[in-house]
Amino acid sequence: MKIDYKKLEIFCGTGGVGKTTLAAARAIQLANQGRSALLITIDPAKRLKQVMGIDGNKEGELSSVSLENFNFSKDKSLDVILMNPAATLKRVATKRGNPESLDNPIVKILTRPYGGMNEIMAIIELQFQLETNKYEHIILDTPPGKHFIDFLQASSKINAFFDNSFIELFKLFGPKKEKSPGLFKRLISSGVKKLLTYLEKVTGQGFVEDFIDAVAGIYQNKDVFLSALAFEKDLKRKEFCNWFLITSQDQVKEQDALELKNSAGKLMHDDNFLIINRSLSQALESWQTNPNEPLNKLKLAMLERENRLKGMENKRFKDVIEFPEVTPTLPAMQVAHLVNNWDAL
Amino acid sequence: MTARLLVFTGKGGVGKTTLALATCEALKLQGKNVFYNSFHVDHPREVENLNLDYFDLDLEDSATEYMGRKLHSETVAHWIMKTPFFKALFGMMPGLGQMILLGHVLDRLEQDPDLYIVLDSPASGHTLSMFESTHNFHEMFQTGILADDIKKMHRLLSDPKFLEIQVVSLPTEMAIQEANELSAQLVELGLNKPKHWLNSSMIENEQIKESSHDQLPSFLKIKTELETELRKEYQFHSIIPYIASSQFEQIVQMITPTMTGSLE
Repeated sequence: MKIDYKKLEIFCGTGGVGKTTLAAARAIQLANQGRSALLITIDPAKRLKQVMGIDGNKEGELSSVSLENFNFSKDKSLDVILMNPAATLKRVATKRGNPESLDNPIVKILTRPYGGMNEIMAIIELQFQLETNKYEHIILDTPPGKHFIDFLQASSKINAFFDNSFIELFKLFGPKKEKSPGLFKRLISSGVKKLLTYLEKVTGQGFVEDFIDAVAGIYQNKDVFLSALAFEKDLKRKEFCNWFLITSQDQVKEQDALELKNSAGKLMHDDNFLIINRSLSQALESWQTNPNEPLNKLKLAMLERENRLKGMENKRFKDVIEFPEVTPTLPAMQVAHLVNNWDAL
Repeated sequence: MTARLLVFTGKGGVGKTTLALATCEALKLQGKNVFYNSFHVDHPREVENLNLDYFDLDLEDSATEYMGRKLHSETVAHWIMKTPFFKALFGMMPGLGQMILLGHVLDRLEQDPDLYIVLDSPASGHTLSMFESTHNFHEMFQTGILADDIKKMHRLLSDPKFLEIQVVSLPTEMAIQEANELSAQLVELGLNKPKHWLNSSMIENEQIKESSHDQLPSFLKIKTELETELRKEYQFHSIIPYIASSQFEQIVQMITPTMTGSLE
């Protein structure tokens, strides 16, 4: 099977199908071929973090991981970022030369690992890394299910955030950040003022001031946020990215996977691969059962699950890739096994 | 006695929806008034096939209703929610929406003391976002109506008679460890220690139980042996068998008796 080399490879699918592990294995395979690769991953299991060398306080930072961890050459390595929204924001603001512009309590709370800004910050991180032009390949692990669609739509959400009504708001107090408590009172535009009065009734005054301050900070960095819009166009270019829709034999979720493909298909090109992970095809083929024994029922149910996923083949995929179920229990060995499977394609 | 708000969570693909729906079935069989909610606008189609009660929550409607109550005017609330400013605010701060939806669920339970709600919540990370959002926004607002409401939410959520969280995992070391990590993080957020359910147990599978170990093909021997080791090492509230079926509704109905037993 031929998988063309592209600048970006996107791994998406419903939860728990093995996106992170397959993406990691793919990135290691590319690095093992001597290509420079960056793996951007979102919230992997702790054990996988440990083998990837991104445990503890290294979250959000760029770390170099030796391929020796996976029993490959110790002279080769790949770069890994475990997404952390606060670290991304800091990188972005530093690039703009004003890291203190986002030093705001609301921004800090929202960019905590579970603050809810992950999808938006992931797209900003990705665009930031694409622009550095440091890597031949960026392998991207994405949030599960419909959160992947949130991720794809993040740039239009950013755009909405910089909607005209906001720009109106900033004209009133200028681009320069102010901490003065009088800021709110200076917002005299009647519509905006009325709105903020209502907001204040519900949230208390401190919030409204912090909020305006946060928005002002983000506005100062708006070029970086809006650069993510360029990415939206790139997603439609076949020569720019490969995307893999992952499904897994142990889950009967072909409907969810197809819905995901269709929603994503509106935002991306359709030159995509279907991956059937933890496939039991080989094991089930060689399993001989007698029609009268209880195990026959189990075998038939497992075959049915596998066939329902394979039935998706007809649903316009460029190709279908099967990854057999991996038995080693150590995560590093599981990854190494999958690297070999990628190589064997 | 069962808590009135049952939240099912865990890593993606562990069977949260299956267990949540089987719990609804089990409670319904006990004669309880139970509603299923998945925190999405759309409920899974299986809910209707199973004849279960459900309610869908629309973020914008919920937020408008909430605002209307707080500002004593539906008209003003509608106007506010229609502004690009608020639309953008919700787009950029998904946590705010999640918190309003959670508040909505709590309101319903308070209004009707005989009501049970089974919440099929998003996968691990997004469940943490949901429960953390109340803390985050409390920190942001500090004072005002919303801050007071959040305090009330915290009181309810920390009451074990009111909320019980069920973390679901599968018989693999990574899934179990992730479930334990999630439990620890939820406890740190001031919630009660969740119950840990092991789903898709091959050892408890009906056909495997009826057969001898020697009859199993090698991949199933490996699976059952691994599971035996994991069950020695980790503790579970309850273990749900792997059901030899690819029909979702059938799987739900077959595990309902196990759920009934585990709820008591």
